[in-house]
Amino acid sequence: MTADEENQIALYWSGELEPGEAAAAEALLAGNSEAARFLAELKRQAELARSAPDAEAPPRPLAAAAADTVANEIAASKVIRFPRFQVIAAVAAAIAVLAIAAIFLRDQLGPDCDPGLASELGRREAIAREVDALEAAVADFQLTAGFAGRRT
Amino acid sequence: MPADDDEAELIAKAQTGDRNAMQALLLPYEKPLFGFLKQRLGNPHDAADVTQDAFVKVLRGLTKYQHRGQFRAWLYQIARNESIEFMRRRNRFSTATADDEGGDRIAETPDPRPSADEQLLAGEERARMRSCVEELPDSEREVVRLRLDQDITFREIASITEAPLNTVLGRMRNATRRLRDCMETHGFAPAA
Repeated sequence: MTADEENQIALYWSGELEPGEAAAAEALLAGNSEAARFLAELKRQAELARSAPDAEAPPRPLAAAAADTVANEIAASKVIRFPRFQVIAAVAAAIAVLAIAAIFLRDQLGPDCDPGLASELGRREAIAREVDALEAAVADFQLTAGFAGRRT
Repeated sequence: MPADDDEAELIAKAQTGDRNAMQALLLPYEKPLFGFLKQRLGNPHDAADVTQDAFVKVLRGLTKYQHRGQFRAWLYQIARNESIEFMRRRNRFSTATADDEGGDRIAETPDPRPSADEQLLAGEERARMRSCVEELPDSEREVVRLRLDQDITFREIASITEAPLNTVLGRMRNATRRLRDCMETHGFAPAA
C-alpha cells in the first residue's frame, strides 16, 4: 500500500473525505486486505489510546477568569480611549493659546512687566541721548570753526 | 463543542466586549484544552496557567479574528504556541537551577508509566498503549493526542501545528506503525 493510499484511509477513518473520495477509499478497503488491516489498527489504537482528557476539571474556572480579565481591559480602555491625533491636536492647541496669551499680556503691560527689558530700553535711550548731544556739539564746533558743510 | 452558527454569534458578541459571550465561547473548550496542555506540560498547575494565558490571548485577538469555522484550530494553535514558550522558559530555568546545584536536578517531565489505578481500571492493554504513546517522538505523539484525545481533524491539526496536511498524515502513519510494534513487543497482537 502506498503512502497516498494510507493517507486516504486515515482521512476516511477521520471522516474528512468528500463523498466521492470516501467511495474510492471504501473500494480500496474492499479490495486490499493491507488497507483493511491499517484501518483496523487505527481504530484499535484510537480505542486504546483515548485517555478521556476532559475527565479532570481544571483547578479553577479558567474561561471565566480570562473573560473577566479581557472584559475589564475593554471597559477601562473605553473610559480613557481617545484617538492619538486628538490628544496631539489638543496639546498643540493648548500650547498655541498659552503662547498667544503671553504675547498679548507682554504687549499690554509693556516694558513695565519685565524689569530686565525696561533696564535695557532705558540704557539704550540714555546712549541715544548722549549720541545726539555729541552730534550737536560737533555741529556747533564746526560752525564756530568755519567748517560748515564739511564733514570729516 | 458549540454549533458553528452559535459559535459565530458568540464570537460577534464577544468582539463587542460582552463578558458573558466571552465566557460562553471559551467554556466548551476549557476541559479539553486543559487536558491537552496537562498532557503536554506534565502537571495541572502549569496547564491551568497556560490555558488561562491562551484564553486571554484569544480574547484579546478576537477584534482582529475573522470567523471562518476555524475557531477551535485557532484556539489550539495559540495554546500550543503558549505551551512551547512556557516549556522553553521552564527548561531555561531548570537548566540554570541544575547548573546552580551541580547538575543533580533534572527538568520535570511527565511520568510515562501508567499508574496502578490505571492498570486496574483500564486494563493492561490500555495502560500499555498509553505507555507506548508516551514513547513516541514528540511530533508524532502530538498528532496522536490531538486526533485521539481531542477528536480534532487532521486538517485542523495541520493548521494548529502549522504543518502541511501530508506531513501530519505521515506522522500519524509512522505513529501507527510504532504503536503496533511497541504493542507487539509487549505481547499484544496487532489488529486482525
